[in-house]
Amino acid sequence: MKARAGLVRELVARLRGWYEVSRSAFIGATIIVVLSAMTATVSLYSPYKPDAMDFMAPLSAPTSEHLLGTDNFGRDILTRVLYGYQISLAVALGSVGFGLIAGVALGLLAGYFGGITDNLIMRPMDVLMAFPAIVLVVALTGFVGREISVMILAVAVVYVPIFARVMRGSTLEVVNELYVEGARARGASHLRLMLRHILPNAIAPVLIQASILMGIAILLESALSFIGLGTQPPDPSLGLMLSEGRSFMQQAPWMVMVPGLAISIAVLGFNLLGNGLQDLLNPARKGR
Amino acid sequence: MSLLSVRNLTTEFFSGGAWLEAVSDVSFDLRRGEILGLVGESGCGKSTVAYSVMRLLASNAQISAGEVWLEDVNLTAADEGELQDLRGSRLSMIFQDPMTALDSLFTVGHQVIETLQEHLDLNVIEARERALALLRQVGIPAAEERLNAYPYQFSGGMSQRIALAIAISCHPQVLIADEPTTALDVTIQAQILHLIRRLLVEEQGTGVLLITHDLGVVAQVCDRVAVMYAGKIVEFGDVASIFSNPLHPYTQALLNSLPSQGIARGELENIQGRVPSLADRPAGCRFHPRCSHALGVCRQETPQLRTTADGQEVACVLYD
Amino acid sequence: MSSMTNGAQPLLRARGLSKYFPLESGLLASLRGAKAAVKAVESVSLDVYAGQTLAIVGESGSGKSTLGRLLLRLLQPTTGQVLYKGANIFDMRRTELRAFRRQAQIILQDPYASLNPRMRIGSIIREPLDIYAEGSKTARNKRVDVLLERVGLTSEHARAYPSELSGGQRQRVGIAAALALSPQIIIADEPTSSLDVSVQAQTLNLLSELQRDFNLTYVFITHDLGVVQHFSDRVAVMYLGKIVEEAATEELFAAPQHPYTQVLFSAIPTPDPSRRVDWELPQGEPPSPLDPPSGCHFHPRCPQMTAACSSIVPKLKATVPNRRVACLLYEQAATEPRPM
Repeated sequence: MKARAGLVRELVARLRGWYEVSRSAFIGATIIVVLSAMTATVSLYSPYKPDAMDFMAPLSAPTSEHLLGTDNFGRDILTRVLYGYQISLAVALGSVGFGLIAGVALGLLAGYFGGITDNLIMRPMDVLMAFPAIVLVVALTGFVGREISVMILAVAVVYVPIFARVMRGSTLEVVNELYVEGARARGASHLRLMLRHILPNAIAPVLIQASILMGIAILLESALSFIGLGTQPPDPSLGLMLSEGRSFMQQAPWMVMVPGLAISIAVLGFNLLGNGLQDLLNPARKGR
Repeated sequence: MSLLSVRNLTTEFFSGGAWLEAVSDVSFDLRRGEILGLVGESGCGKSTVAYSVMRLLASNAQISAGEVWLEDVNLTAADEGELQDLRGSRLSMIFQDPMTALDSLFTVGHQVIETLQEHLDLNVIEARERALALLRQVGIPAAEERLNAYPYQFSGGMSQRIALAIAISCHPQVLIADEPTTALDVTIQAQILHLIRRLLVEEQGTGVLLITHDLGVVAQVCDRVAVMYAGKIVEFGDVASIFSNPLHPYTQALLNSLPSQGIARGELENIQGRVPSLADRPAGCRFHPRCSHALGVCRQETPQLRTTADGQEVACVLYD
Repeated sequence: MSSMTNGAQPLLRARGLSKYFPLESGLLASLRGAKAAVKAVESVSLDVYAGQTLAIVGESGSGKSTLGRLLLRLLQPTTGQVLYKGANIFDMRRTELRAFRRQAQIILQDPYASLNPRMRIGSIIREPLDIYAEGSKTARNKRVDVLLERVGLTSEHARAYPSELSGGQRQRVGIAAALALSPQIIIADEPTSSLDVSVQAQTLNLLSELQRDFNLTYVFITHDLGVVQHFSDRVAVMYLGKIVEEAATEELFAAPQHPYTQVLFSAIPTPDPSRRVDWELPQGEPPSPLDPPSGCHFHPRCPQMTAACSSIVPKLKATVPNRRVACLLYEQAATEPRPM
């Protein structure tokens, strides 16, 4: 009992510490954690299924039964938003995950070896980057298919050059650090230099970028679904809900306001986290 | 006689939820036409003294006690407007990194002329003439062309000369030099120190407060020296007597730890342990945990700076 | 102490070593053919004797750090060789090079920048052992403890991050890491220049103890002549990429021959107010290595310049045994001006 009380106290102290270091990161992370927890467990507590229609109450304003109202089919909007987050977060996590891994690997190699390797990697990245992101995603989803996996892949393709460029830049800075030279003098292999010495010291700006790109991925998914190239009905996607609600803006403004607000909150969470990470990941603070 | 008088100066920093003393009860006088060295290892508070005098402390620092007088002006009581008038005219400062004093967006000439016009009643042509003369004085070749150059086009030594030119442009009574040559090569260091001595001290009678960690520099250019340890002055006197007859055990140890001429090879004497941090300064004499002569009383009693028969001042119970 | 060359064998020798850094890099510049280059090191030859300390002295831009890196093959030379026990390190293949890297270590200048901020002290010191897979995991950790103690730290420090240590402690960590593989030669690039004097004294004492205990050979790159005089057996003075004078420490300090060495020595502030120098210094600053003066690089600042100095490149020649100087004042027979 006593041990647990101590643990709780320590947890509180730790949380307060983080809050003091960066309020913005703390609030952002809290938003994301709460949203993720709610959407992951929505099937456990929600009385409604996302596609269950209540023909008795179409376009119902918020009531005690439907906290945020219903849409034109009488589907509970709160439930649909919470399910919608699953798709948003899946696309965000998936695309940033793929983009980050590939981009970091490419940027690290380009920055570390330089010269021809750098050109071989970065010139195609420049070409990819020169393409307007939204056009690229629209083309890919339109061409290959409208499944969620295609959407993830499409956004990831847009993200790879962004991550690669950020990683290359910070690698170029770290590669000249004295401790890298020292390790090289001791006979460390390229792999060891890259993974032990450069990667951990160069990754911070990439993580900040990742957080911000998560928010943008959510926006991209919503946009694609909004124009009909993403999630297909009847699946609940925030963008799709927005698009469906457009026709009922007069009678049922909550149909657009709720998913719109939901998108903003998620994007805000990731942006706050990204800003806060800049303070947190400052290497001068490291070592605590 | 004294130009600058520092009386019982105490400066604190806010850190980790508490105010910590970086400088404790420091007093000294700077006379006309002398170079006073303020020497000590990193963390001893010597730079904080300089910034306190200039009233250029960071926002987490404050002067909590004591006064600083520039002749008849109480600097500790002056408001920001008065201070701005004084800084650059009667009171000047140069830094370890000369770029601190230079704005990278403007030409060097612009900056020197601006300073001149701010404090002296000169028109542009007169100010330009003065600026040219100043650059020549501090040994900048092809001064005419250099007037139109930007700070990044200068080497470290040249930038320090420019910073010096700006600092002395209005004939300050007091120049505070915070490690002005630490980042420079020795031949350049010698040139700059020589300039300070000749241009300011000998020709204009400026009083220079030279903050340095380099005992060689102190020996070569200073007239008097204050040795600081952990925020306090532990010894004060003229350079010749401090180097030939150091009294405080810290000064003795510091001088003996220098690897230098004459003593080839062999063990260097060193001071055990390390400088205490602001948060855990020992009670009594702050040097006692590292002192080879420490007595029981050193742990409780804070020694005061006392004048010995030879006119040297030392804060150590051995001389009480 | 003097003239230790007899008997001792050179462990490391540089022969005609040069390093030019091209100014423009990139595709266009390489197509146009290499243009301007900074001659950071120019045809340097020197010997480092086993068990001794050679100091390389010079101001910024003298090329001393570049030379140090060439001696360890951290840079590729433009021309020249470095022979370690007779073998050119630039011809070494993988396994030979690994063997060389084990025996030749470096201690870097800035203890704040030379330790990876995201590794614990223990991992930093253990890394060389990990690289060469020395013994078991537990044996390596034991060795780390031994090394920590040897340099005056405790095994508790192994868990700390570099940011938790003072400058002096960090430099000890750098020394421990350099010692981990029991090297024969250590190149120390300004190892004490960023430390306070009392900490500097502790570090220098440690380095000389280690030299005695392990019969280490040091190359000490520094601008601090107090440290040089205290610590080294021989000194090479560099100016703008070239060695201008080389001699046994005592002999050099007793009577510096090259005018630059004399100027350098007189510029050092001696911590003795009774020996004040009225600095009669050369005008101007060291010229840019981009565009070094013709003839002797030092001639525009040299108080003893003669007419020939701007056209004739002085060679580093023995004036007396074991002492070399590159200055026309010491060249016996007048050399004919050679076309540049």
